[in-house]
Amino acid sequence: MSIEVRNLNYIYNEGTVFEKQGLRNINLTIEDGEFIGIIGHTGSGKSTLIQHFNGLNKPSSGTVLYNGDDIYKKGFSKKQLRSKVGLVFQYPEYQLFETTVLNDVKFGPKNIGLSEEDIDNNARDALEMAGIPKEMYNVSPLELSGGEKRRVAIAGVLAMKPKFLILDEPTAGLDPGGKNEILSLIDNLHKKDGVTIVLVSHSMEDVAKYATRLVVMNDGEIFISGTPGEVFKKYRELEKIGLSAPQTVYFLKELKNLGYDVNTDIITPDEAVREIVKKIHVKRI
Amino acid sequence: MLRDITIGQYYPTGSIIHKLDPRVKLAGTFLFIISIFTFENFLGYVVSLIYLGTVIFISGVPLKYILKGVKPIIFLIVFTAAIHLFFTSGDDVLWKFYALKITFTGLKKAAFMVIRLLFLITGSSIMTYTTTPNRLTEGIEKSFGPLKKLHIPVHEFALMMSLALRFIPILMEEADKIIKAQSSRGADFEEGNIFKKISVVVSILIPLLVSAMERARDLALAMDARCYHGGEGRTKMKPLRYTEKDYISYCIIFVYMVSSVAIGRFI
Ligand SMILES: Nc1ncnc2c1ncn2[C@@H]1O[C@H](COP(=O)(O)OP(=O)(O)OP(=O)(O)O)[C@@H](O)[C@H]1O
Ligand SMILES: [Mg+2]
Repeated sequence: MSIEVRNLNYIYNEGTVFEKQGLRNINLTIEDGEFIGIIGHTGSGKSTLIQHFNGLNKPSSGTVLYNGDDIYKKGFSKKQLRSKVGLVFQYPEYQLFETTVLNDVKFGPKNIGLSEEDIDNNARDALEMAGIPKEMYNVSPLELSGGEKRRVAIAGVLAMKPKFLILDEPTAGLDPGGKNEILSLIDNLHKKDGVTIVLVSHSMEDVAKYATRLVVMNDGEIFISGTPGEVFKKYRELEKIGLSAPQTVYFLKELKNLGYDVNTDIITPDEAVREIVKKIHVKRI
Repeated sequence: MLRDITIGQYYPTGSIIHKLDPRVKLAGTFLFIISIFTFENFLGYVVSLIYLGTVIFISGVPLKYILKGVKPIIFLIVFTAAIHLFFTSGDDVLWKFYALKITFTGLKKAAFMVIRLLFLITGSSIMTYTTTPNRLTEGIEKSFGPLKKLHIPVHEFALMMSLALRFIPILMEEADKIIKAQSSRGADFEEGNIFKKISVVVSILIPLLVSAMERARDLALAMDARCYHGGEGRTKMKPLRYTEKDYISYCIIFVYMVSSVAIGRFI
């Protein structure tokens, strides 16, 4: 299974003074089992791009293939596509509308026409995965806190059991605890349930930790793409487009400059700690 | 989709129409609307069309964009036309089917109604396209200023209107986002039975309402925090002042009114 973006161009408000090129000549393939991190500064086109993956935006030119089928072709069921390619919007909490949390989560599975039993099971599974306690199932979603709303909204997409899960800055505006809960939920989905993940994020640390591949957007184009290690090695170029590498990269660079022989390809704090401990050990012996 | 509703949007091109005093445009629009409802023959509408076309041309707003504003009210136009077409009594019957009949008078009336509504919408949208909501409010406030003496809260009304206008595009954008979010959850606007459709509409309206309320509350708080206290004693940074082009425009509007009404009513 794969999502393949081909020569995609997208222009906002085509033919008016407000015309703006949102995406420029994007080519990208998302393979089964990947965890892709999309980074880029504000306004670089991340949200615009991911809204093509499930056919919400219609490209000005180019196309998107799902398992090789053109999703914009006549007769291609967008509804089926959207149940396979789940998309969690930036600030998804505003989409909650039902009388109770449980009913809201059922909205997705209901729409794609599952049986009454499956709808209920899926919804409960999703809420449990998202870490919503049982006593909250029957309260109004509008009474929850921001972080809880966010998790309910994510559950609303998970309840459709998507094969691909795309999340647009799911941790924006959350406290560190709430942030970690959501990230580990995503990581679990990737590792345990084999869901392919696309995570849009402003946090270099987060994508360094979880992603298997990074796509760096700049001004509507793909600037670089590759494994986190490869991408963050080019931190000088990233800095030019308003991004940076994770702190760990700078830290290890600095250590190296001070004359310590550390591996500077490491990008996550955990590995860095291990590396440093190892080196200290070597010295002692 | 929803973005097609363009009423209340500003379309900057920097044309001379954009630079006119908002009071001129208000008066011009108002008189234009009056004129199209006074005509009794088609010749008047020809004059109006030439006038409107010239204004649109000078404003530099693409015709396509202006016509987009008509889209949402097509239903209303068709409905009004049908009523006039089928329910106007008269002797000059052209076609009859039981209680339904089409008379020549009805046909003419329907045609007039369609033209009037079209001109009404395009005429007033030219005003909103070329005037920012702020300027428009200032224009209204100033034009109706004398009513303050009768203790009518002109400033407050003007402010409410400008806020409403300002919020139309924002709410549209919001609605667009919510529609996308619900579509991602499989909401379908075309298929499904009536209950499904209602649930889809509800799934959009409720979040929209909630966010509109929140925005309104935030705005009220922000205004309060900046010590907004209504129009009394409030001065303007850029008070409205007529310039030469405004006087010329008034003359043009006057010439239009006299000539079009003369042609439309008395020829
Ligand atoms: N509805 C719209 N109409 C016109 N232009 C838009 C619209 N939505 C986005 N844009 C423009 O397209 C560009 C890309 O926007 P997009 O929302 O994809 O950015 P982003 O990378 O997601 O940014 P952020 O990190 O702030 O979420 C921006 O320059 C934005 O101004
Ligand atoms: Mg975004």
